Amino acid sequence: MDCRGVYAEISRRLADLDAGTVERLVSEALEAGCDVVEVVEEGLRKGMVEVGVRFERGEYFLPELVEAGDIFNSVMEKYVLPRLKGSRAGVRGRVVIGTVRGDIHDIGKNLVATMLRVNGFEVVDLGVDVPPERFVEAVEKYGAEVVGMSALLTTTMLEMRNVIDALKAAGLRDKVKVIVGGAPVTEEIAREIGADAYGRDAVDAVEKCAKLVEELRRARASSI
Amino acid sequence: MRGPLLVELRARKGEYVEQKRFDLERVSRRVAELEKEYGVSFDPSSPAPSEDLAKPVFEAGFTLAVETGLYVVDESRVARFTEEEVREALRNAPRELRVGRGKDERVLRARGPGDRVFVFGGLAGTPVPLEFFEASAASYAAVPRVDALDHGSIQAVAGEAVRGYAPSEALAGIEEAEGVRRALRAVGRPGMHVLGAESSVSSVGSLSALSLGLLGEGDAQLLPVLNELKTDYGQLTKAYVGLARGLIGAALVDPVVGGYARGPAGSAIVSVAETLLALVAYEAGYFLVHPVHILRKATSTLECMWVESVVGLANRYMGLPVVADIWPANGGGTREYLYEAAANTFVAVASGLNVLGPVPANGTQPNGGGFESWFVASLADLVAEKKVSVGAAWSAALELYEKYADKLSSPNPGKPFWELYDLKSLKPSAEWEKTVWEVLREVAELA
Repeated sequence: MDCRGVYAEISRRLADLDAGTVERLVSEALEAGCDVVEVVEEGLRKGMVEVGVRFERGEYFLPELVEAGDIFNSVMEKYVLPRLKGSRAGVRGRVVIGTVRGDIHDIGKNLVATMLRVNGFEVVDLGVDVPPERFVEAVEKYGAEVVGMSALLTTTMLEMRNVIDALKAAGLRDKVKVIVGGAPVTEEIAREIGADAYGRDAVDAVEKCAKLVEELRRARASSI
Repeated sequence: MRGPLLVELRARKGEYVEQKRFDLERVSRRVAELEKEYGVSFDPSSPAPSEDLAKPVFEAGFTLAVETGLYVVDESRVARFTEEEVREALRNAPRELRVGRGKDERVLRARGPGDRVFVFGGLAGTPVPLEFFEASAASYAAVPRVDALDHGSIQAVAGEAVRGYAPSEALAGIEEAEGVRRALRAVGRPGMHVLGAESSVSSVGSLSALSLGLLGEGDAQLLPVLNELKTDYGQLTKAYVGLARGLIGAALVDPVVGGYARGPAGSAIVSVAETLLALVAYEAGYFLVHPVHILRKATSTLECMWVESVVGLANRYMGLPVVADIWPANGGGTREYLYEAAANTFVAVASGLNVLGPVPANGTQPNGGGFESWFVASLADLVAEKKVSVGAAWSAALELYEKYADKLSSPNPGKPFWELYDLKSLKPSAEWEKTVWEVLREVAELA
């Protein structure tokens, strides 16, 4: 089997949201002995990147991003993860994300979660109206490298500060990076409440998360 | 039976639908089908909409409203209305509203070509520090051409950050309404129409201000339709109490362009559907159209201006008092802010809409004041008086768009109100006043 050719086809079919064909190709490629990490990196990941490009160009909208994310997750779960068990190959970072307590808006948060997955992050989505304690629990349970918080209301965005305080109280603040975003949030507010970064939009959030993970891993490496 | 109660009763017995399925299948998939069925499309290379789109967009939106209904989040169920119920609500809807009180009363109407434009001023929805709240509100209210006030949100009370659904949110709603009242009295316009309490997008702040009589007959409260085609008991309760107290419901129709409403074409259809559903469910008196670009946010993006323009055209078949929100990405002190506001005003007014704004920096920072609302009102009057056609307005808007397009993805938020304005006289600094005049002369040429 020409693995390189199949990766390109997986990428193209995923970008076209052809779930059935992606599943078949991934299964066949792995059965034929193609490298599992290459299936992810050269096939699935590239397909998801193309989905992101189409979204930025205004050719795809949120439903297509969600659909692509569903295809990606389903294939990962069914065929890829069982072969990668115990390995962190293919994961760019682990993010716990949620809309803060008192706020039930989820479109922005869902978009960032999907774009992070598209770009190779493992995302634990806590949903909406999430109290600080649940963020803390999730950071511990999943070994998150980044906490992402979203708020749409001016009255709820300051709840983000409470999450940061809860992380400090649990002794986790220096083990995890914090990024915030949402309509009323600004760079200034992010700084004021003690976050490490502000995501202007979903694309920006992904770039910032990549940098934050890099910083964290570098800091961890130098402290060993 | 009043609309909000009717929605609750319908929802309690309505069809259970998982939210993700509602978003993806009931809304997105059906919207994509309706775009094709009714031939509604957006062409970024030639964005000026044809006036022929008015009818198909209205009909597609009407179909979506009746077929899909309104999703009540607390129940995960759908409240549906019959075609006849929606038509009857449209037939009975007021075409014009008397808003405000006494000598400050004004008429907000469904506009036809050449009709006077109703202008809202204020830092709507924007966090404003308490110490500058009154002065900034007064700077808008002091502009004679500003008809109504929709001012910002208070974020901290008693020295602590406001928490949603908590007593501090109630207090913020009260402080905001009191601050607005004091500002109106200070500029001699105590009866001016107020849309409040913006410090609370949940029901807590509005209900608190209402219970103290700080919002009453002649005023309005904001009633958002949640994205997309959704509501919750908080909004419905607020709507119900407001109606009982004679308050006008101002429905916020704010589809996310690029979200579940799909692109501009789908977002226009969803806007019409949400307008109709807000009319039935909230018995809203007027409607704020505020498309939000999923990446750039601003209403001055081509996609969002197109949605506002097309909703204005479709309103020929609804005849409702509809207002276009003007939320530029840039802020006070920058020329781009004014170009964005001007482009947005051109297309909104020519398409038959009233205006609210400009609200600087996408509503994130209090970086503007009343003189910019005067700028928008002056331009709106010019476009209305000259009966500028939709096509001509779009030509002007596209020329202006060239001047700020590059700054939409990395906007300059500008300077805060207290640096741009004198806090005693409420007048803009000489430099900012000069810039606004220069840009007004420049853009007026285009009309």
